[in-house]
Amino acid sequence: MNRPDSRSDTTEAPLWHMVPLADYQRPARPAADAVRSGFFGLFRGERQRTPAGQLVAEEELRQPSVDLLNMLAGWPDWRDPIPALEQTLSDIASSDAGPHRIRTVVGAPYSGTRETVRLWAEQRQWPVVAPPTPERILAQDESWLDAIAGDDGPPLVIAELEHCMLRHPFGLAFLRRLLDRLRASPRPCLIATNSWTWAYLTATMGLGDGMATPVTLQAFDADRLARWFGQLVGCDGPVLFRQANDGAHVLSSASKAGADPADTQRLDKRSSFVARLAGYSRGIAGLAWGIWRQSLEAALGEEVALGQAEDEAAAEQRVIWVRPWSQIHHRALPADADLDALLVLHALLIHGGLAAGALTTVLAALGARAPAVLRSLAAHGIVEEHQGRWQVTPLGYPAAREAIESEGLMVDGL
Amino acid sequence: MNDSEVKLVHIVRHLDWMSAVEIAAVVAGAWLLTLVVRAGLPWVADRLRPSGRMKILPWIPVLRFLILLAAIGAIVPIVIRPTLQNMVVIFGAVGLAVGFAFKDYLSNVIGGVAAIIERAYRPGDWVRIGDAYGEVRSVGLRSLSLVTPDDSVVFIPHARLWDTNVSNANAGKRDLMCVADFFLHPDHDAAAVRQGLADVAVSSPYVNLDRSITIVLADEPWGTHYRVKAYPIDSRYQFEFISDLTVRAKMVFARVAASPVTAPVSGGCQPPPANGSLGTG
Repeated sequence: MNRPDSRSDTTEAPLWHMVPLADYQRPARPAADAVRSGFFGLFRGERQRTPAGQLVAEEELRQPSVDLLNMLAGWPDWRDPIPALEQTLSDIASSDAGPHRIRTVVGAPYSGTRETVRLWAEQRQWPVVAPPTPERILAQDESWLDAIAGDDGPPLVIAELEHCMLRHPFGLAFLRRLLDRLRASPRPCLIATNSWTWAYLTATMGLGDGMATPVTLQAFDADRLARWFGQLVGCDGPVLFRQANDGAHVLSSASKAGADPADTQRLDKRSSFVARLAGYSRGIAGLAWGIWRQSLEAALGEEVALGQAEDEAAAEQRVIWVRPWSQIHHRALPADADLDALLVLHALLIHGGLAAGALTTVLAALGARAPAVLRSLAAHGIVEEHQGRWQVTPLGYPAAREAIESEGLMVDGL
Repeated sequence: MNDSEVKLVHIVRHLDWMSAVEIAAVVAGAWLLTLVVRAGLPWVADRLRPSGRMKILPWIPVLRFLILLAAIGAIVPIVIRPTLQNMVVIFGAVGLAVGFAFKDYLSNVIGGVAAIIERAYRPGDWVRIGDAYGEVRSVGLRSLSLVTPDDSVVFIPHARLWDTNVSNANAGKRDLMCVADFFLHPDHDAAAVRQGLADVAVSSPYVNLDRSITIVLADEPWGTHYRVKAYPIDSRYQFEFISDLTVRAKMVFARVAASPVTAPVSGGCQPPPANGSLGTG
């Protein structure tokens, strides 16, 4: 395995670092993308993209198998951001009574924040609060609140605040009671929350009042994203990622993997793929990773070469082709998506996913239309059901967010 | 040929078939352009983002008026010799004749011009004129058309502008304030109801969280009157918004044991107004 340790690299800025929420900096979208998005964004519905020329014939390229994909762009290890979290929140356990007792970590969907906080808490053996069911929230179940209350002990960790509330009069009343108890308790508390939930709750009930400044994982810019993708490569020997239409190098992973220094010159000609990906995904790691996996293609026979052993002579052949940005199929909302669809997406994002029953409760105005809307969105890959909850898919998130914003509904700040 | 006939010949050009073709072409062009503006701009506006829609629609009556002026400006020099003296004579005579014959029509046209200049109403606005309330769909030369919440189209002559108040709820903006009224028996926990109604407003999916939300209450002889004032994300969703507020509020009332007052069906008591009135934003 050629995966370097992100913590051992002292010459480059760390891949993961936490910043105050106000210092979050999204990577800029390349001007051409911004103009194109601005023009086409005026209009609703799907739009066609013009295919570019092709260096490698389309028929020679294949979607890689899942095994190969896992080798080229393995699943993110959400333990990697833990050092950044630890550095920022190291004093939480020793916090005395005061506003810094309740610390908040805000994360965009698929940024890995929730998973990282949970893993860190498990490492530290801090109790992680299991969220209540929607039924208990609506019933304003005091027993759940009593169970988590306690003035002594290690920091209390709420890894999914979005699952402890419902956008419903009773759901907000329940959350208010929870926050009142946390504020009244001298026990330190770490709250991780979805950026949509944070935006909603700060706008409606002043969630940040009486708490320390919230922090978040900094967005990935193009350089850090390219380094991260390079680290996710899990096979031996160098792998070159080249753009299928013009052969431009997408990552400089070959130099990292110890390729001939002469290659470095060639690698200077980098495609703008990663910059465009960083801008499109708003620097959110999980989103960028999902699109990255979708864009990889292997030429016929390449899968075998990659799976085989360390034949240096074969190194030059270890090329993975990356579909040009203009040919990536970005998921789009159904052409007939109306306000109902946007309200469903909005509710799913604010709650970090909802069971169908809870969605109907939150969107009582939609009534029996909600299941049909979910089915339509699912057919277009915008939402999916995962562990009993409907949620916006990573590949559908950019389109969903753009549509929600254009309708004038509240959006997150990340 | 007497003097007056000679003067008329000096004013009016000799109209041959070519002039007739030119006039027909101008009329046809103006008519086509008007059609494009009247049908094309709403088509484009419906495909734009909601914020863009409200920027496009108000231009429709302005453009139609400009097309009309341009058509008149193009036809007049074809028919008469365009000297100042001739223009004064012709417009004076035509104005007098038309003024008598189409007094009411002209009053409407001038009212329409005043509405365009004063921006009293524009397509996309929600207005109340007399008893009619609805969204302005089009502003024509003689009248404007409203689509009421019941999907009826009401045509209102512009001349109503002279003697009737026009209440414009959004005045070119995208959103408007909605007011949901609730009437409760006075025996209840007012603080709990007020907090509950605040939660009702912010939990509605239609609410615009960038605008203020206000809960007002006042004791009346028959009970306590609550008013929830908030803005939906778009004026088109005002009725869904008020309905949603009402449904959620009823859940809150049931939870805090606050019962609505009811008016007797018969008798001398005046019932309170129905839930969900609209205010101006």
